[in-house]
Amino acid sequence: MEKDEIQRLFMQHYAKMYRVARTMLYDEQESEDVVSDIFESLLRGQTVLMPGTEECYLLTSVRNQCFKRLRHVSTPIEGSGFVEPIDDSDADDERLIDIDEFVACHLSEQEQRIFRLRFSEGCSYEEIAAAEGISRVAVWKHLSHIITEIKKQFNPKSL
Amino acid sequence: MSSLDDNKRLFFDMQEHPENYSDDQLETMMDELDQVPDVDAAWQRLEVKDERIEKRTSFNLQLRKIAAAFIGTIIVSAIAIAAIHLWNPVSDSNPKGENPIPTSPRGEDTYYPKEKKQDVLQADTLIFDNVPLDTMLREMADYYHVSVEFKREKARQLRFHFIWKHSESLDRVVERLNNFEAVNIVREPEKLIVR
Repeated sequence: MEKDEIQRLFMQHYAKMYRVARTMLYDEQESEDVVSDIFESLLRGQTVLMPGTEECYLLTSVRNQCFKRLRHVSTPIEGSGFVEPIDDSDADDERLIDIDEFVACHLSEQEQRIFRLRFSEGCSYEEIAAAEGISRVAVWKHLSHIITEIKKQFNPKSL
Repeated sequence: MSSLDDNKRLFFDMQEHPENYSDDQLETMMDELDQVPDVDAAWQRLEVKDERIEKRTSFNLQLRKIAAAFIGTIIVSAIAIAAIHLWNPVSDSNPKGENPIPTSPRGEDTYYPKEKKQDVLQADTLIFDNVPLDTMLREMADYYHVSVEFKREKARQLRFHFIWKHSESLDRVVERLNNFEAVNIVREPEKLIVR
């Protein structure tokens, strides 16, 4: 992939990717690192994107990298819920697939939409509130419930 | 505890327990999370980082090439040195190697006879390695056209490691042999006397 094309993708998707990362990690620098790592991989030709899948790939990558960081963080942040002893990356990948399946099978349709809008499409709280016809605070509370359910299922020790 | 960690803790607590916070607090947190980043500046930082990595990768690659060339040179040199040692018995490292030098008729440990010297030695040099003095002196006496007389029979079986160059004079060879504590050779015009 040419550098110009990568720059175009960066300009188009960076804000959403950064938003997803911040939603999960909070830390500004860490969030920027996650997004930068993904584009560095593209610049070094280590990743080839299929036409039409760029946005989906980029946002999914951010989400996955954030989950991994949260699980492998060396200094646990009390209450983050995703912090566990380190295990191998294959287990991480399986866990991420399991989380997607859990969201599809156990959350209400509205929660699935909110989860998708925030974590898969990188929408702002404002955009989600407008799409669902609810307040921003209601969006936060829905996302809070979604995350609690995921933690209950995948990391009960943190609760 | 740093402010960043405090804020992180607050963020995760707000996620888990939104009921403990007012709407305003939640709104403030959402405003912070949805701040629009400076995309141009982020791209510039990425470019700088990428260039640095590229330079480092290129530098590492060059270092590896230099290291490979250096190691190659060392290996070739080592092979050359090993070859020289294998084929040049002037070195005393492996006189019993794959190309054994014939031993003397008396069966001494190592003995390079005169008739073989052109084949195996450089610069008309002979090496006596753990060879009895009797054998050494007979070989030398033949070469310098003198006779040998042992006044002390036990001296015949004294064994030495000695490098003999034919270009040396007999006087010089006797002088060097006399450096051994157990040897006392007297040079006479036609004879060597071992006392």
